[in-house]
Amino acid sequence: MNPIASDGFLDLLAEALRAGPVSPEWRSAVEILRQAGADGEEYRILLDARHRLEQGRDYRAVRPGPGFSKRILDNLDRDDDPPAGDTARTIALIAAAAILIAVVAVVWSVIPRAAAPRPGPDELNNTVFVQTALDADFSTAIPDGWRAVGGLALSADAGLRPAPVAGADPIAGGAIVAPSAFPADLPLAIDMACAVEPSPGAAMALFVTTGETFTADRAMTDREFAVTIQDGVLRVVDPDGHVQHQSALPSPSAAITLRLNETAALVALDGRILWRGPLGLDPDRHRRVGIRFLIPAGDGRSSRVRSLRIMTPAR
Amino acid sequence: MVPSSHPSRAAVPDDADLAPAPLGRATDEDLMRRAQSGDKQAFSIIYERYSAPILSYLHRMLGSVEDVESIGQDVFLRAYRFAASYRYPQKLSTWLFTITRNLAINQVRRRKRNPVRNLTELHLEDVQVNADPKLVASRAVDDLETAEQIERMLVALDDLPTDQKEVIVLGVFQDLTYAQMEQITGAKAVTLRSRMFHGLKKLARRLAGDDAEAP
Repeated sequence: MNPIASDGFLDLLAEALRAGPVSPEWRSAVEILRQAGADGEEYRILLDARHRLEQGRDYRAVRPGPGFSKRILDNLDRDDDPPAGDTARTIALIAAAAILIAVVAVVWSVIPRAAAPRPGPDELNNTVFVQTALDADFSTAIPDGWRAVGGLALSADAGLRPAPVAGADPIAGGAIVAPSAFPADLPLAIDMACAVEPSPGAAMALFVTTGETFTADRAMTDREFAVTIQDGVLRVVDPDGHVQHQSALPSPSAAITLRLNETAALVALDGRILWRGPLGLDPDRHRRVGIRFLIPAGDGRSSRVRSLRIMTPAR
Repeated sequence: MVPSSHPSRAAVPDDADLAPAPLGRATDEDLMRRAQSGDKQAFSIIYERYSAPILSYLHRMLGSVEDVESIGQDVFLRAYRFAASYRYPQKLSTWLFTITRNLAINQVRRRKRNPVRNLTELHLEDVQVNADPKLVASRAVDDLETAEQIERMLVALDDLPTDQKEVIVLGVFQDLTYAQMEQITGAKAVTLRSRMFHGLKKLARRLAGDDAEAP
């Protein structure tokens, strides 16, 4: 088989074109093309073009001068010291803002509104999340305000984990739910850091739900979007219970990111996007965020959640 | 380029055992974690490392020095102000280029197209720009014919569709991996590779002296 017809060669070539003439991929690609003779001509001209680009890589290179750098770093200093406000001016500004808000509220309630287009998955990737709405560290205790649901007690000791159970039910479930619900039109970026233990049958899930009622035994709601970890596999499960994506966890330490807006979700592991698609939750209902564990009776081992943070865009 | 408000080396205690490891040798991610807790000196080193790549990216993508100056400042101010939104172990370069790209996209949407200034070798007070393809090419090689080829390529690069130009700028000029570009652009790696192939193919046509528009 001609080596340049394989997918493997195209992968190698793509990497060589990105990494450039000093890379090992480049040398391998050149060698394969040399062996391919005239058949490789089409790809050789790509390498030639890439080589010329390499020689011209100073093009549009910009170096900041001292004035530019000083201006930026001075601005950082000013950022730490917000300008002191004149009291009268501050009061006037607050009053003006209150009047403006009242006028907008009246107009908003009187004028019929056309349905705005819902943001999609691409919007999620371009959203910059800058405000911390919630930051929970489970190293010593479950922070105040989190609500415990389900039949399995959870505790925080070097991470959130379930207490061992010895009941008749073959599977016990318990969860904690974040103190407050989030409006559906507020995009969220949820970062969960966890340590994964090899404990067959035990499952851990980061979930977002529009439901208010949790089952007493397993802390489930009727409609929820979940990222689960079970038996070393990460799964993205939509509200209809369908697995949309699954992949093996590469290491026992995992940083899971779930971004969502009204209609779409994006799941990343250790900074790498695994899946994006429809969220499947009611776009008009508030969302609650929680962490759930399901473990077989008698099993004391479980994965742990070290921390969870929820970010929102600036509003 | 350490600002005057930062502690100088003389401020480091004599007891070297108590002194932290030199910031200059810290990884980007470690520096950012320090910056998250308000260490401005750590952030100034991040600025030193990334100011040229960020400003060059902006200039290659937007083409105007005015944009480079205004957005470049905005990138670093936002990165400092919103440092808390950086989450380890994401690579700092990916996080910074995502902010930069978002601001660049907003800028393109906002501004009405102004004719790009005819820049030669500018040495402005605040930034230095290599914007003349002929000059860049002649500095790169002695051979006249090769220099002309490089010049043709660089001119053609400016004419590429934005998505193809972006993957070349990020991957070739900024040395970012496809995985990083996936996170920054939101496009899948297979799409990015395709854009790289098609973009280079168009440039190769120009290299061959074929200036006809690609089908």
